[in-house]
Amino acid sequence: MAQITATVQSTRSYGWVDKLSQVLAFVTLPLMALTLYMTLIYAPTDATQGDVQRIFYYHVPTAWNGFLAFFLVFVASVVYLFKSSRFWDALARASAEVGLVFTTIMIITGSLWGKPVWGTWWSWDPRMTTTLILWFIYLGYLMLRAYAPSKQQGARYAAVLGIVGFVDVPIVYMSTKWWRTLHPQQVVEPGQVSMPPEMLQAFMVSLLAFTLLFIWILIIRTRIALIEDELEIRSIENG
Amino acid sequence: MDNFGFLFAALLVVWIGIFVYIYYIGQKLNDLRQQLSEVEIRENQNTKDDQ
Amino acid sequence: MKFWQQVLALVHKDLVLEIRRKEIIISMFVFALQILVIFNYAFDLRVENVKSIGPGVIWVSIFFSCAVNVGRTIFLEKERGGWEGLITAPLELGALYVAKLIGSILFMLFAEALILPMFVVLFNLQVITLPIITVLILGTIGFASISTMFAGLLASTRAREIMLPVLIFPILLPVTIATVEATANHLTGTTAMNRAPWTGLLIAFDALFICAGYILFDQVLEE
Repeated sequence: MAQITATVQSTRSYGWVDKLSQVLAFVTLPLMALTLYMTLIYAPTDATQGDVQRIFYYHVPTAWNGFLAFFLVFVASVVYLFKSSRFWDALARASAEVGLVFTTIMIITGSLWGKPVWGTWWSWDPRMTTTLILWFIYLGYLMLRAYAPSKQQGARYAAVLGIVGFVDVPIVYMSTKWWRTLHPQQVVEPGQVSMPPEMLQAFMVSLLAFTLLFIWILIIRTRIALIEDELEIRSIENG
Repeated sequence: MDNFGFLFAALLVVWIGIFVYIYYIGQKLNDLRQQLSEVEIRENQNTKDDQ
Repeated sequence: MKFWQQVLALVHKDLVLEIRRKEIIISMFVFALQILVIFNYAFDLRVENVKSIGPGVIWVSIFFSCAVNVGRTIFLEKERGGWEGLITAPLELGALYVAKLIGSILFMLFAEALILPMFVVLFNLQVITLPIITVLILGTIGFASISTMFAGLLASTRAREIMLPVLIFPILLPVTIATVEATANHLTGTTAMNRAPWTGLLIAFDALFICAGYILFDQVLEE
């Protein structure tokens, strides 16, 4: 056990990240428990939709984090192309994978919410469709890295995709929105603006909890990516 | 509770999905740290042999 | 004007090769034609329906046949060993991208010039009008801007022939929507009130991603 704690020199320079990670590990578990309580018990049942509406407390925070992850992929990709730094590449691919997980959960929960409330599993609504496109781009990103001829080139190519994909997302959103006004379908996702305060509180807690959880998971996954790089470098050095 | 099945399924997807992923990356991190420490021990031995 | 001299020289080379071999354009045309035939049996394209489904049929045929074939402007070059020479040649920044882009656009336009009349004949719907051709050209430019960038990126990647459509389809969704909707608008004569600025979107998309390709392509070429 002492061996494990004594190593990982390459990641030791990010001391404050380690501390943040420990703090987050402490904080997220109780916060998640609180979220469960508030979203399932504390928040009142929605008058029109019934208890199924509670999916909203999970669907939206995971969506937000999925987009946040994609934004991070974009930023990390840009910085990586400028600085060719291993850290930014590790962050990019970690963020892509974590983002894919959160986006998958978002799409599935969206479907499970849509069917009972609006009678359809899928509705081509602009937000869900844009998220689906995002999901495809993430997937393409990870496939590209897997199939690239070398890790170095894979990192570079993926960075290009990360940038182009992100720039495209607002255009995808706009075009699906315009299309939707021309081809109206019966589903309308509610704006959820007029929420009773208990619901708002539950939502805020859930949002906070999932965002902190996301950051914590991202730190771990980035560290994994950094160690993978480190191992590869050393195996090349040692022959 | 109406439509409880859907709510339950969504909750399962969220919590199980996240926990499975956390477990997976936790395992991976431990494996990689193990590998890295083995590599470092081997390197230390090599430099000792060279001296 | 060294930049444009280089671009023209490269485009000229690609054109000459293609005129001799006609590989890419003929593949695009034949594949699209076969898709058109399949569509006749997949959908009920009688007179009443053809105006509403027609634009989608045209664009899907073009889109799929080009997605499969247009990468070859770069992939064939890589297979025959010319790609490495181009990468290491002292070219101006972005010249290779612009040259391949123009080449792809020209090949697609040639193929489309063959496909459109076939559509008119097979489905008895006049689509060769100026507004629709404009939309087609804008859509082609948008398509080529992305496919050229990613073909260059995938040149040395495994499974590149299938990776190209997989990567570009989601990114090209706005182009797909815009071309189909704009074509449909022109066919059914929709009033300005019901329209969205699809043509504007296409122009913006083209401009944005040609710039992006121009800037990022050299990143792709560094070994």
